[in-house]
Amino acid sequence: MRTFIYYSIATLVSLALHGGLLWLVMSTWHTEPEPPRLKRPEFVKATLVELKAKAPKKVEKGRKADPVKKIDLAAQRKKAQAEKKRIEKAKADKKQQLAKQKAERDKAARKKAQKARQAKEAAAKAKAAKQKAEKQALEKKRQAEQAAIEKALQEEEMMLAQQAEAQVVNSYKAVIMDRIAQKWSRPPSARRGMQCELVIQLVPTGKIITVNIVKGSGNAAFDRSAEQAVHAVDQIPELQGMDIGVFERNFRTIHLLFNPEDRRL
Amino acid sequence: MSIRLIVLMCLLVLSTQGYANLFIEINRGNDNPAPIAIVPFAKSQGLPENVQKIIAANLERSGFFKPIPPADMLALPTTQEEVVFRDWRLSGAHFLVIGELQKEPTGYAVSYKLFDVLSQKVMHAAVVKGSDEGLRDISHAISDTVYEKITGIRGIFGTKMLYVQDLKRPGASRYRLMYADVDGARARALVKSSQPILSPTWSNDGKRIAYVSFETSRPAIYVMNLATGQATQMTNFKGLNGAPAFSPDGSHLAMVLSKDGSPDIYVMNIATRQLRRITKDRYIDTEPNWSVDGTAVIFTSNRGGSPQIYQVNVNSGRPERLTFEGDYNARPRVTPDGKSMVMVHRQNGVFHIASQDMASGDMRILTETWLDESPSIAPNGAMLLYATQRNNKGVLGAVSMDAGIKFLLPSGQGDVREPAWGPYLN
Repeated sequence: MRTFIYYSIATLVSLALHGGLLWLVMSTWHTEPEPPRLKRPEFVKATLVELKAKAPKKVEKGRKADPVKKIDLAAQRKKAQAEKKRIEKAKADKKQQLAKQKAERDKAARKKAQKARQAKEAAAKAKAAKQKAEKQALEKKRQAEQAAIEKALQEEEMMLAQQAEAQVVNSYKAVIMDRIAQKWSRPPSARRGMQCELVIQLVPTGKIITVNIVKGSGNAAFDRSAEQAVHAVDQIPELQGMDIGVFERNFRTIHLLFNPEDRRL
Repeated sequence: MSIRLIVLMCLLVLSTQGYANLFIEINRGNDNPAPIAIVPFAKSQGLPENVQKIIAANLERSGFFKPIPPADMLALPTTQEEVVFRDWRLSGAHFLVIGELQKEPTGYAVSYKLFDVLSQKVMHAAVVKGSDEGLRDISHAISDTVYEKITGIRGIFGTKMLYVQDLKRPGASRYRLMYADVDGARARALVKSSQPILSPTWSNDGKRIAYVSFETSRPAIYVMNLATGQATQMTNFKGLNGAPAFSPDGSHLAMVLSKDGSPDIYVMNIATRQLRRITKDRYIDTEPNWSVDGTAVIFTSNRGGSPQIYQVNVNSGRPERLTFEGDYNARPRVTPDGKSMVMVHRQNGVFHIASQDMASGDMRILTETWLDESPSIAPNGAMLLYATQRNNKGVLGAVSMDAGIKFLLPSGQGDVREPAWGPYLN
């Protein structure tokens, strides 16, 4: 009864373990359908800012000399000179004024332009900052997603590798099974239900170096036939081409169960 | 409780890890005769019998061995020191027998060794002694031991057989009851008669035989003591007196008598000659054979329209039909383990020897020539003898019950039929 409780606990625990493992496998397999591995287009809102200021128009006026009338030389000259001076002065004044005006105008315009530019730049800057922040957040999100994908990929790859190895191991198992079955010649006293378990050890050349009966059938002739079958095979040359890691993990030591299911009796 | 749980879980994990070794199940095989090398024994040349040849022939006929001819042997060792296992492996041998023959003041002594070539081990070593004329007995004894060591089944090469020979020309010794080794050698006539001899059979201890002879012009059952050669007439009823069969304890004889009308099964106490009728009907009941425990007799009857096999309890007399397949099943013989019986079975108009599992009723055909009859099972249950036709001549065939290996025994003149495989003699 105690043993029964032990076993039932063991069974329950193993069931729970298996169930948990199964659930894990199923859940990781299904709830995370691989997100499409597409690179999201990154939109950057760019605004063209015109920095070229409008070139001020040069006003050229009164460059042409007035027609000079020479009547009274001296007075006229004086007058003229004065006049000239006055005119020139006026001219210069005007010019100066004009220049001053122009400069002021220019300055204002420049100031305005600059102001506009600055405002624009600030706006752009703010926008850029905002965009950058958005981009960063996006990037962060993307990176997280990428990491998750990579992790999933890695896991999948590992699983695939394991599956691939299991497949390789199974195919070699079939080869070994076939080679030994070919050489297994049972004595007439062999009966269905007799079982003999052997442990054999191999080296990477496929050579079988030790053969040991770990559980006999009770029929010495039957057990010998199993041992002889392995000795007769001697080497499994197919194993030579195998990856050494796969060999070490699986084929260094092999349990063989001889179970003559094909016997009529 | 929780600690136990944890321990259990740890154990579980450990056990699953511990069984990380690759596990391969070999659930089929390729049953081929085992190649065996029997090296000619030292000092065995120039003797009246070729010991090596007799052993090789015995093992080959069993169906489970393929002897390697001495011409193909790379060396002929006679002592263990001379054995190079690699050479024998190269020759394809799985087993090896070497030995030495010594002439003794009276007879011979053969010491021999049996090797497992593939495991490079001595499996058996023994000395067998025999008389001056006993070289065949020594050979058969060695064959028996080698066979038993390798197959796990007791050998039958030292047993004897009876059969009836018909020289097919009128004369005082046209019909002969023959006694021979099961390989057909050393045949000698126990009874010679101008009238037919039928149904030879053995007692379980191998000391007596019974047969039917017509020498008194009507069939009568005789029991002969093999040691003295003295034959005693057991029956002299009118009508049919036939098909005797010793009970397992040798005290009774089952037989067929028609003194009361149609042929029926009777059992006679050999010591008191007291007769008991087992079947009582208007059909033909014949060919009785005892069950292993001696409580029942199986026989052939046509009560169902066609010949089929029935079993009747000797005490209650209640019959039970055993065969249902085919339109003809006759000559039942129970195997020594009592688990199956062999019989003559007709399918599509052809007679075969078939075996039927007593428990399940499953039938299997063992021989595939036509006109096979009179199966007789070896005491180890692994082979059976039967009579068949070859070139319009009655010959004896043998078949291994398991491997289906068939061979014909060398035959002399005339027809041979009704083989009876004798029991173990010790």
